[in-house]
Amino acid sequence: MPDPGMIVPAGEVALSVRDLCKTFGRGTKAKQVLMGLSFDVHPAQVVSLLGANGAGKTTLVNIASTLMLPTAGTVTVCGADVVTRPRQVRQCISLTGQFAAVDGELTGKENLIFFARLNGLSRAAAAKRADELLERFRLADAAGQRAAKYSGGMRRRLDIAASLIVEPQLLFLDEPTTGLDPLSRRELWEMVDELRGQGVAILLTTQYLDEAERLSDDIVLLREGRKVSQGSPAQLRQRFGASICKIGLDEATLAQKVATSVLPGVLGRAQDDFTVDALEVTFTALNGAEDLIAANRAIIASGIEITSTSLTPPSLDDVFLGTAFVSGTEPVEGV
Amino acid sequence: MVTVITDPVSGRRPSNVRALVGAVWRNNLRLRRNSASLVSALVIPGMSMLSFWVVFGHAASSAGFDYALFLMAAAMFQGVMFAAGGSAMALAVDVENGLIARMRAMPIRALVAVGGRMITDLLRSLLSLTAIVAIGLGCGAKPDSIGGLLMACLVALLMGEVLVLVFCGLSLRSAHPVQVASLIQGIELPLLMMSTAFIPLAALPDWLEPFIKHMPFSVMIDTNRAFLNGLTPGNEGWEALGWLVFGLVAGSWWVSRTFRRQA
Repeated sequence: MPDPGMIVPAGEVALSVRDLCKTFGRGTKAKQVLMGLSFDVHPAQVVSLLGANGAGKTTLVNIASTLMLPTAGTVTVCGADVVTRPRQVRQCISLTGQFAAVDGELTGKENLIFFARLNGLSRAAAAKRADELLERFRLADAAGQRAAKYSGGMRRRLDIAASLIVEPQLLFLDEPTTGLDPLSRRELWEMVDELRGQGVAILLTTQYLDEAERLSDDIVLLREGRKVSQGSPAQLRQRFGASICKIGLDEATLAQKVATSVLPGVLGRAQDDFTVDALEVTFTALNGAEDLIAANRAIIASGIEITSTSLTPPSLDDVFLGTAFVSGTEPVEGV
Repeated sequence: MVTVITDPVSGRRPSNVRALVGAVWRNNLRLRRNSASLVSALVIPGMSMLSFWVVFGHAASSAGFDYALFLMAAAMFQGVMFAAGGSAMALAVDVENGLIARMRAMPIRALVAVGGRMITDLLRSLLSLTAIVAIGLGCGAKPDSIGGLLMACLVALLMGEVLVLVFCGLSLRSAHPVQVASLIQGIELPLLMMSTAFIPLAALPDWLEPFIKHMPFSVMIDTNRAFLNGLTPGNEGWEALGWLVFGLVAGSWWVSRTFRRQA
């Protein structure tokens, strides 16, 4: 009969954060680092917390992994509250912090055996599991080498391998690729994909937009402890960014004419909204493809020949820079 | 339908005993590889004892005083104190490199981390005491009986465990654990000098006597001396027992709370 303290409902939300607040210090020195944050992470889902330094990403990970208490709000992991049932929470999670938490004096294999023993494996089972993980993370050749001599990428792989001794239901990856070379980053991304494929829920914090875009099912944008927005990378782009439209023409004079007399009237915009660069007219397509089509039709109708036309969707950088850093951005309800 | 979180390899739930054995295994590996730690355990307390004996031994012998035996009790205490300081530093390094945070997020008891250190510390202290007793006997110390010698060692080891709890608790509690551990190692010797470790109580100024007599280090060392001399410890013995019981109980509780402390 399973211990009631160790069971969690399957198929439920892996991580649920509701109205989470965290304040450090008291009185005049009080600093609020999380303000009313709410979001969920489901099994087989990667949710990224994206924000500038000091946005509250690591504080949230520390609270969700039972290392810190919330000031207000609730956080549940696999149905267990992090404040009232921390032991049950710890049975569901693995934490990989900002820095590789491995023992440099021990070899790679010894490190994994150590963490396996901490997880309650017998000596033989620990050695077997260590070998499996060393193989899986391509560290088998360096198994007997002290971790202090590992490269940054190898140490990070060992660190994550140590988190997977007992595969968790929820894995916290706190800026896992900081300081890694491009190849190691790509390998880590593949590993995250693999874990998601196995049903592991992953909460990732990152400052790298390409990483968030590549890995995330959902992105929670944080600014100064508040959720600015939440959604898939595509949804965020659609919500916050505007596409850039470029139209190429035969002659510079025609480009000037299009920018000053044709398009402002058709699109209902000021002349300043259009930029002419040699033979190309560039403008922000606030209505996406509709603006592109309207512009093309108007130019053709005025007897001017178009040589090229393009519509570039906004990047996540545009979204991030427009929401995470710009002061005065109001929080937006997530989807 | 429910999912039970278990270890996928062995099919067992986390075992604190295995975790503790694993922690001790790792600490001992590190101890074996750290030559400075071994030198500190095996050589320094014995060297310190030898130095005092060489300088003051002759004068003390002339007065009919077994200074080697007198020093042996102090060196025992110094040995376990250095071991505890080493444990605090090792734990502090684990805090700073994130290992303790990782352990705190695991489903293990708080005392696994500190208990692992205590057991390793016990082994290191045993090595240290062996070296000290060998040097002491070599200097001519004559313990009254094997039983008394073993009792003195036991008191020293227990005191060492209390010191591990206190020192590790201080390291865990600090925002700068390595600095705290360094400070602890730095003040160990001065603290020892403010006890009856190297100078008899009668040789101290009157105004200092009450303080020195009742400080925990003095009562432990004087209890050790009573055992080594074949005497029954008097009030010092009870005082020492009180400090040991209080230190072990309160220290364990405090360290557990500190380990699981959530900011």
